[in-house]
This record gives sequence, C-alpha cells and structure tokens, in this order.
Amino acid sequence: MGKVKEELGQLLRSLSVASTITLSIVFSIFAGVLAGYYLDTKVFDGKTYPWLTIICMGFGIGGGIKNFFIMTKRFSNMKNKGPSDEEKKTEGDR
Amino acid sequence: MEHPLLFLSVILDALGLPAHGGDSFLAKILAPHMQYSMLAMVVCIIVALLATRRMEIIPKGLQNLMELFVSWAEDFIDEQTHDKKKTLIILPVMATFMFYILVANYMGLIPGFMSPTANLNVTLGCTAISIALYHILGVRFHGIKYIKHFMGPIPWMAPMMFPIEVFSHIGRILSLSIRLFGNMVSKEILLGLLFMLAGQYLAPLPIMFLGVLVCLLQAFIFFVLSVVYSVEAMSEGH
Repeated sequence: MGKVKEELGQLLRSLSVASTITLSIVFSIFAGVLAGYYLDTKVFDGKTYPWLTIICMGFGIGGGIKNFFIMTKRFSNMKNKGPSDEEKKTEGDR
Repeated sequence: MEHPLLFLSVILDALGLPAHGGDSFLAKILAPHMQYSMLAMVVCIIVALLATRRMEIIPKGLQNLMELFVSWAEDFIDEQTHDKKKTLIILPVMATFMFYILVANYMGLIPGFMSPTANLNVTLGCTAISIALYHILGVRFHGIKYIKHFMGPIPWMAPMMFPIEVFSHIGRILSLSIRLFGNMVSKEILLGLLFMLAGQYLAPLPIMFLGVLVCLLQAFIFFVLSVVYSVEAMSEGH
C-alpha cells in the first residue's frame, strides 16, 4: 500500500511538472508581447511600432526563464527527497 | 459555455430570479458560475463542519479522511518551507484552495451541474487571492527589503532585472488562472461535442475518465504553485 501511494505521488508530481513549466514560460512571453504591443499601438500611437514590442518580448523571455529556474529548483527539491534504493541501484548499473 | 440544464438555475428561474446572466447587478451575482461557486463553498463548509463536529482521539470516517488530507498538505508544505512557523501561516489558505478547487472541478462531472472553474472569472479570483497573498507575505517577512527580490543579484543589473521580474510575475498570474480555466473548459467542450456527435451512451466515457484525472491534477497544481510562490516570497533574497 505504501509503495503504491509513493508511486502515485511520484506520478502526480511528474505530471504536474510536465504541464506546469512549459505554460509558465509561454505565458510570461505572452505577457511581455501583449504589454509591448499595447504600449506601441495605444500609448505611443504606432510611432515606436516594432521596438517596444520586441524589447518587452525580450523581458518576457527573461521572466519566463526566471520562472523556469525557480520551478525547476523547487520541483527537483521535491523529487530528490527520497529516491528509493532500487532507483539508485539501477542508476549505478548503468 | 452554457450547459443545457443546470438544476440551480432552474430552481432560481422558478423563483423568478434572473439566473442566466445579464447586465443588472442581481443577474451578475446569480450567474451560473456564481451559483455553483457558492454551492462549492457551501459543500466545503458543510464537510468541514461535519468532520469536526465530534472530534475523537482515534479518528473515524469523515474525520479520518479530513485529517489525512490536512496532514498530507502540512507535510507537503513543510517539505518546501523547512520551517513549522511558516508552514502554519500558509497552510489554511493553501489547503482551502485545494479543497475548494477539487470540489469545484469534480462538480462538473455530475449531470445538471457545472464546474465553476470552467469560467475565467472564478479562476482569476482564486489567482488574485494567491498572488496578493504571496506579495503580502513577502512584505511581512522582509519589510521594504522585499523589493530586493525584484532587483536580481547584481546591483548594476537592477534596471534590467526589474522589468524581467515584473513580466515573470504577470506570467504567473496568467499561467495560474488560464491553465485551470483552459483545462476545465476544454473538458466540458469535449464532453458536449461527443454527446452531440458520437452518441449518448458510452462515447464520452474516455473523456470522462480523463476528466477525473485532470480535475485532481489541476487542483494539485494550483496548490503546488501557490505554495511554491509563497515559499519563494518568504525565503531570503538572492
């Protein structure tokens, strides 16, 4: 029973990692592009058109990478807590 | 997306109230996602009250289940914070998030009910609470020095890091709210399509099964991310 629970928890965590990290990057870039586009078209009336969008997209990408690092750090903390002895053994065999 | 038949809307209709959305204040309060959001809250409160009504040292039945859930959540947050005091500060909010979203997600699988989380307003509301909470915690634990979290490790890079951090926080808002909303609404649309196209009996069953999994997973992810962001805000800066 304990092993099944452990494996289920592991599966849940892997699934959440897989579906979380990508989306956080995508939405961060998206936020950057939208904010830049809004500044370009609405605030400056298209005078600065491609530049603020590009710059804000760069910031968005940076933010996405930062989110990526935070989550990877946290999730790997979660995973490395207790790798079972079997996993260690198979890794050693390889 | 509107369900063909919602029990609470039918009841409210019979009482002569505007239950299908509209522009007036009352119609906005009584829109379907609001009704079912309220229902989810009521279910949460009733379950919590029933579980704690007769507390025993050796728990049985519902109390056992709730204790399992709460102790699991506490252990999980403890793994992240490594500090009992911080854990106890954020545990009530996070466990409530998980419980409420779990109930709200699973509500959509019952015929005649809808998931309130399949509406962007509800998920955005939950996200607003979560985001505001971790900024407040950051200010509470670090005072004015919380701004250092936005400045990055190197002083001369701060003007560049600040917009990056701001966009990463905006990205968090979007990813938290839109992920939950998108997963729930996609499940509902798929179910509706299969009902219409493929037949009434067993065709939607695989999507139902997927829905059961996704409901649990999304509640768990919301919980995990809220915990991670709060812990990140409470921990020492770079």
